[in-house]
Amino acid sequence: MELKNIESLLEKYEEGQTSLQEEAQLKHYFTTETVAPHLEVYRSLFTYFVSDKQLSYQRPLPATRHNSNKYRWFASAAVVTIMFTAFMTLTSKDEFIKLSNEEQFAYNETLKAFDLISNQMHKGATPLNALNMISTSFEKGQQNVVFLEEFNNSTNKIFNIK
Amino acid sequence: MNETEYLKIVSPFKDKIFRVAKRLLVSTEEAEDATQEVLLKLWNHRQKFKDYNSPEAFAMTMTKNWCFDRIKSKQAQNLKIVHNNYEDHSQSLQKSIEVNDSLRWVEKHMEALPAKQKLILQLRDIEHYEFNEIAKVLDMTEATIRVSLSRARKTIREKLTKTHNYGIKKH
Repeated sequence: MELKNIESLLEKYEEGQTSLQEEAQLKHYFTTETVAPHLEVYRSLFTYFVSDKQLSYQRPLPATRHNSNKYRWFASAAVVTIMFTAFMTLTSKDEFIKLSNEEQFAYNETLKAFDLISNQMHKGATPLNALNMISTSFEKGQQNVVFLEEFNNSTNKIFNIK
Repeated sequence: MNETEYLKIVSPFKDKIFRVAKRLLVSTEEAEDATQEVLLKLWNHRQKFKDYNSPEAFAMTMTKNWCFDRIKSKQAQNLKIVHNNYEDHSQSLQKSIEVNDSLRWVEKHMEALPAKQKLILQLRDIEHYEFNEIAKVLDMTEATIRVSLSRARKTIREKLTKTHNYGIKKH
């Protein structure tokens, strides 16, 4: 483009009277062609404008909450299960009171037997692994057959009643 | 409006929001925060999008207001934020070598302009907005915008000439 043309465009530019097209011409001229020495200042100006436009926003866009409804369903499902289990445990306690003496006795005996077994299990517990623990406690359990018999007795009681 | 529609509308001008915010707030971090805030607001107002004939102008107005509020509250707190851009230096070092020193001068001179002039110059010379669009965003007449744009362009050119000739010509 002719130098005179550019100079008149620049004048217009500084008055704020150029159109976007004319400004694009100026940008093109100052970023691609060899610039006359006395217009060198404009080169950095327009090069800056062009280069600054490359700046972009790096963070992810915030519209990622489309699955919030799904989580809401999970939450309500969890609440329902918790309520249900709480209800069940509470009512089962009430049932225990309704049982006859014999039944309660049998229940308690069973609990005792379970306790004993679990004690033995604990004795056999080694930090090695779960399988080891079970096998060792079974061995010990064999030595203490009495406890197993006791367990049998109390389970039998339950079955006899029912 | 669902997410894909929202993204389709927002994606073309999210970088513009960021650049405008950065121009006004200088710090990259703050500009990113501002952009995030504006995008979130747009998402929350997505149902109203259809009422605006130009979501972009709406977004720009939002950005402008948000940034001006930020600047005001900073001044009110009498807290001078020095524009430190805590960037990844390995990258910016490379860039600073590549980028001509004179470009940084342009940036500095632009930074020194009054906020309104800065914004107008940004919207016009970097984002290529038409005068009527800028008028809508800034709620000013086109004539006033032309005047302050001309003032901003002249100021920068004068300052650049000075730094350019520094040590070469006698003032």
